[in-house]
Amino acid sequence: MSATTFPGRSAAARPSTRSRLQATFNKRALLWLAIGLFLFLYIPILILIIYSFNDSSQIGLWAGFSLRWYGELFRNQAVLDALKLSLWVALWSTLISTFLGTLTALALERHNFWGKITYDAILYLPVIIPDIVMALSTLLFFVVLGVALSKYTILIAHVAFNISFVAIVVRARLADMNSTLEEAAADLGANEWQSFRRVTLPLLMPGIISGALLAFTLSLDDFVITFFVAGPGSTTLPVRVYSMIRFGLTPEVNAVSTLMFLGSTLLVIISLVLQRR
Amino acid sequence: MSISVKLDHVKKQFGDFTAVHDLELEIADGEFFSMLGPSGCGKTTTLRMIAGFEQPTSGELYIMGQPVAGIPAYRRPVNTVFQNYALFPHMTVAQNVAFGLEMAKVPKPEIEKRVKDALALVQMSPMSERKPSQLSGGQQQRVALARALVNRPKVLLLDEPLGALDLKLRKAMQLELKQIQSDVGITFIYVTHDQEEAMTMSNRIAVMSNGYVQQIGSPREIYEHPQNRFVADFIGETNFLEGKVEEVNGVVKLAVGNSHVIGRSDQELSLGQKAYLAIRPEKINMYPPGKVTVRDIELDAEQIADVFGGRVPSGPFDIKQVLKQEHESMYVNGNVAEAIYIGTDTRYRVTILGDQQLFVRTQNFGDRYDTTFEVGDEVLLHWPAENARILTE
Ligand SMILES: Nc1ncnc2c1ncn2[C@@H]1O[C@H](COP(=O)(O)OP(=O)(O)O)[C@@H](O)[C@H]1O
Ligand SMILES: [Mg+2]
Repeated sequence: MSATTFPGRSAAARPSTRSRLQATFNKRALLWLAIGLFLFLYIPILILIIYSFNDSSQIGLWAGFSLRWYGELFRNQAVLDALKLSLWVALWSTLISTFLGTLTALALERHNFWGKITYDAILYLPVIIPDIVMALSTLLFFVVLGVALSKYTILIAHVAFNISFVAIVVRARLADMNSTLEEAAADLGANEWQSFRRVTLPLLMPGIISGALLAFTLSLDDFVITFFVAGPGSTTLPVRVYSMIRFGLTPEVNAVSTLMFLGSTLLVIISLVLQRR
Repeated sequence: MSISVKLDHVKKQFGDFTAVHDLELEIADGEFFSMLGPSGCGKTTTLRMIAGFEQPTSGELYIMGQPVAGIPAYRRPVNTVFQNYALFPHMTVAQNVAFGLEMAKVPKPEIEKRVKDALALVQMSPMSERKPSQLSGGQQQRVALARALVNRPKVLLLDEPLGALDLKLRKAMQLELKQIQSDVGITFIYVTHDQEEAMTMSNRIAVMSNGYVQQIGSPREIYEHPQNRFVADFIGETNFLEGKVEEVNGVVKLAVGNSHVIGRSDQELSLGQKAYLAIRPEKINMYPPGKVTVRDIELDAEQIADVFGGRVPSGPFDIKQVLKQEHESMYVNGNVAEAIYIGTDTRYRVTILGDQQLFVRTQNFGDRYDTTFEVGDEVLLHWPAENARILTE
């Protein structure tokens, strides 16, 4: 390489004025499109957040800034109970589905067995098929088996769809991981369990944690499936919000939605950061 | 001398494809043994069977006299240096090296000491707390070597360990590896596609192609006595002249066109059979034809004196007169078609016998001694029979 080549100095590499204009224009257009899309997606949420701080009890009327509705929220026992159940379901479904999903990913990525391709395809189904179909089929499943609906049926349903998400995230990480590392561990005298504990698991951890966070978020946010399989009295936060809306939009609903939005966003960001690493 | 690794009719198939055919190998304890061959010839597969990552389709494999079929990789007394090093990215250099000893439940103080010694052996002591990602390719290579050697395996398997390094570093590491091997006395089984590398380091080399071992021998045996055309072609540079066997009588005469050439052979040949004369470019002597003076040529003065009645002629003489007298040798007229100066040598392409091409290398000693030839010059090529091998396909 010669020291006198500067970027853009070579005549051949210099774009014509016209194509440069074209490129600038394209870049501008793309930027505006991105901004437009962003606004389209987030203006409704922004309005929701702003109005959660509205002092007025009427939705459309701005009466000054206040944390009044957040206060009300934390005095509302029904909302607190719903939050508690949501967290209970999210925590347990995350733990169980992370464990099973990780095992599934390991089986699919590192082992060969009969029916693997079919199993692989089926794994993606919960991600693809509409929630309503999942909800109906899960409900039907419980009805056919004669299982009484309760908070446990919610948990089972959440575990069922979360396994797929966890397995997909963990598997992506596993596929990136060189399997010769496991051979190297075996070569140095590690049996399968030692090799998993000392090499595979530590390297897989960011993937497992990000899968778990995703599962936690999905469980917290789920409405459709929960709505169908919840037993009487088992109300999660999204279901509670839905029933609150039926009595009219109140700033309290805005407040609880704002909190849910912030919570989920935080989890998703952590999950994305971990996947990058 | 005891045998450390033995392969008895080992064969490996992947589906319908046979990667390794009926392999017979015996590797001596403490030997530096190389498997050399072009990419895809089955070297890695063979190594992986010894390590225990692949099971032979048939045949038996012995390590230190014990059959190892069914013994998993983690219980075999061998360690591997992988082509891409396969260092654990989440562990420091010291933790990487300690891994095997921890698996073997060696006491902590001893682990510390042995890790230190191993890192010193490969000159990586100052880097012990670094992560592999903070090391250069050459440094990672050293760590991989230390991580394997620290376990004091009976056999060390190395799969193209220098493949990713640049030429200069590779040359330095070749000598260092050889030195380390003779220091620790462990059997090395070394896989490479680089013939110069194999020649530099090995006690013995197995030349492989298409899943078959073509020849096993010391670097010298393989270079000087290739047993078939593939080996002659793959190791170093070789000229081939195709012909029919005309006479087998110690020296083999091969009819090429309406003339003939001579060489020697270790193979059973029958008259009229198709065969090749194989001769290396540096084993052909090249002289100016016709009259020469003693100064022009590299022949022994005594030999010349013998021809001319005990006196070295002071004036020009016919070189053929001298060459004719030489026992079991031949000469042939040629024309220089190409002359390329490459520093240490000059490489000529010479047309002989009408349409045959031979490459000839002459070493450059300096202006005072060199006879240089130009394109179009008439020359005389000469070789003693033992410089050329007669090979069948
Ligand atoms: N797991 C495998 N499945 C199918 N074919 C394989 C497998 N491993 C190696 N082969 C084939 O076996 C042949 C020899 O491979 P390998 O031993 O890696 O060659 P080398 O190391 O000499 O380059 C190649 O043709 C390769 O494609
Ligand atoms: Mg290979």
